[in-house]
Amino acid sequence: MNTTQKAAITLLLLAVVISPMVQAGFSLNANTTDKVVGFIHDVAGIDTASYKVMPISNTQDYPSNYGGLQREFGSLNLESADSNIEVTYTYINGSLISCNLYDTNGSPKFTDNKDMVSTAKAFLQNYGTFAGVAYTKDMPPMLNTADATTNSSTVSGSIKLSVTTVGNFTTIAWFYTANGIDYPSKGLGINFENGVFCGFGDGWNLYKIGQSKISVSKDEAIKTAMASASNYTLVVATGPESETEVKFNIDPNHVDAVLTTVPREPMTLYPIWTVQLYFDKTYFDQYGFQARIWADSNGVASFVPTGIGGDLPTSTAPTDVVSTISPNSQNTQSHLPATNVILFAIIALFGLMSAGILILKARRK
Amino acid sequence: MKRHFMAIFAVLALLSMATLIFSQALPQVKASGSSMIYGCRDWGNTDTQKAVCTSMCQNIKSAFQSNAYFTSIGNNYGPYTTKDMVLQQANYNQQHYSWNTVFYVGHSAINQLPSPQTVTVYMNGHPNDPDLVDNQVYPNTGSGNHYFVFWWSCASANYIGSGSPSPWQLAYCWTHKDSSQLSSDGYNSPSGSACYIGFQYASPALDSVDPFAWANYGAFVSDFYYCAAQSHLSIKASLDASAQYITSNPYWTLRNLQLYQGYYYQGWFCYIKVFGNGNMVIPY
Repeated sequence: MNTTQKAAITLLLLAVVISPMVQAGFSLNANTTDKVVGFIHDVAGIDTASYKVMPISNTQDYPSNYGGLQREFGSLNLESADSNIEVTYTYINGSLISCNLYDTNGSPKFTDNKDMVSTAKAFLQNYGTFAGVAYTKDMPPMLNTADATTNSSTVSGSIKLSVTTVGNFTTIAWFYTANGIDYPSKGLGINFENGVFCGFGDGWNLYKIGQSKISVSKDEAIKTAMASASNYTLVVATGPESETEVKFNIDPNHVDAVLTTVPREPMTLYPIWTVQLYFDKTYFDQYGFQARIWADSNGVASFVPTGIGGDLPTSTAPTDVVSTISPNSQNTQSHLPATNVILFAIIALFGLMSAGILILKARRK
Repeated sequence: MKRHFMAIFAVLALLSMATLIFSQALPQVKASGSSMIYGCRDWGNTDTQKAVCTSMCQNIKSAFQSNAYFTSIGNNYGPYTTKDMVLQQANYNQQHYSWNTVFYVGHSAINQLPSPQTVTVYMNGHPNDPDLVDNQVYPNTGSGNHYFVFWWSCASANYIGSGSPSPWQLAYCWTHKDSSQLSSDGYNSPSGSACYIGFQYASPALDSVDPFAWANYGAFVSDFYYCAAQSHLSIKASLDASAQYITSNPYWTLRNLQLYQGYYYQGWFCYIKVFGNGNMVIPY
């Protein structure tokens, strides 16, 4: 055997030995896992020493709504004999903006058990240190008068503290407010389930305010929506090769309008009216229009017919026929094995043949 | 010396072959999922709604294609959504794959009389081609291995249903699990070995936007599958992550969407519902 042959066989063996390891390996970021575990211990107060940490997933992408910044999100499991927690996290451009805990078995183990208000205060203090941010310093004093058992809100300067409880789920949030407009995305919120910390999110530094003044009233927004409707041609599909133009009537006495704030450019918030117009009746499952009108410019952000997925309710039932389908019915879907399995079978066969030749050669000599 | 070198290499080669074969043998046994996507495209939809759903269904398919566990993935949104296709595919998949999931977007109606309250699902050829009644699904899912079903249409989750007096409701007919086996609130109190998501009364069109969101419900569903099928978050965590995505609010959850809080349509109070186990993770 010459040097070239030896090198070729060595490379082949290395490839064969390494390839299963590459297949089995996780593309998980150990550094991120450490950072998340550090957060849930140092800030959220989870007794991480009681758990075995199992990284599950880590995905990195660059969504357009974050202006091309890197988003890194994923999950890990904390496992112990009597408590399992799924931890999900999101980083934007290297900053942790969201972390949620889902107890999938038992109750989470905390280093200290406090009520919600005390937990929130401790969280803010720890988080300020962890994230190196100063804006959390103004938040704890607002909790001094907060009652976490009732829905309430308090404003201090441009910060609104909101306590919201729905069922067993409570959110204590501080977010930006100006001129009577709330910007919940530009805020920091802590979530509790049954009084126990279960998640947090921080968009305070992530979002900026594009406009804090309302130039378009509710009535003006409705008028703009009505004008868009009057110019709209509603065409609905009535079959694979057919559609019909619907002559609709708007019910002028039935209009909803809600003011919220959403990004117009990435991570820049603007006030927007969501106006719901209703037809006098439902036409082919279409019952009105949804118009989104920018509250600073009166520009139409979107205008779409609003439909539902069916008829509610019918009083006549179709014939209840239970069909009998042969187990061997033909399928149009492909059920071929995955390509990588075939590829590995070829590699395995090739590797086995190489090994056989090597053994035979060794015996002959 | 040369013989020893060759012998060591031979042993190493055999060991590595064994490693390779065993490492591939395990996933092959595990890799046995099917994911089917259906939708009524050509009735009751505008061009925008069709476009949003077409894109969304393609995104769902892509999410499952990134998950090696799923070896059978079909996007039948549109003309291939027929009663025969749905039933035959369900029957085939329950026999050939150990973990099956189905997504449907379209139109359906609950039949109030006579009891039990079955659900009729519109196929793409509605009203000219036969529609699908939930109890027709039941005999084709007897293995009980359709573990996750997401049905975006009206009244698809008014009830879990049961086998008494005869099979009724989509959740039961797909999963073969009744209210004793599936939590009626799989989001807040997850339990059971399957998960079903549907709607109490009206489901909104996928091009509609939640008042607190910047992106439509089509983006919500796409992101949900990106999280659940591709990134391995649990169903519940995926719902929350998708709510955060379309609202741009990092501390909000599904609870903050109108979709969950509820809305009125012609006097009916409507909202998304999760039955069974929201803690379930789609295998990978």
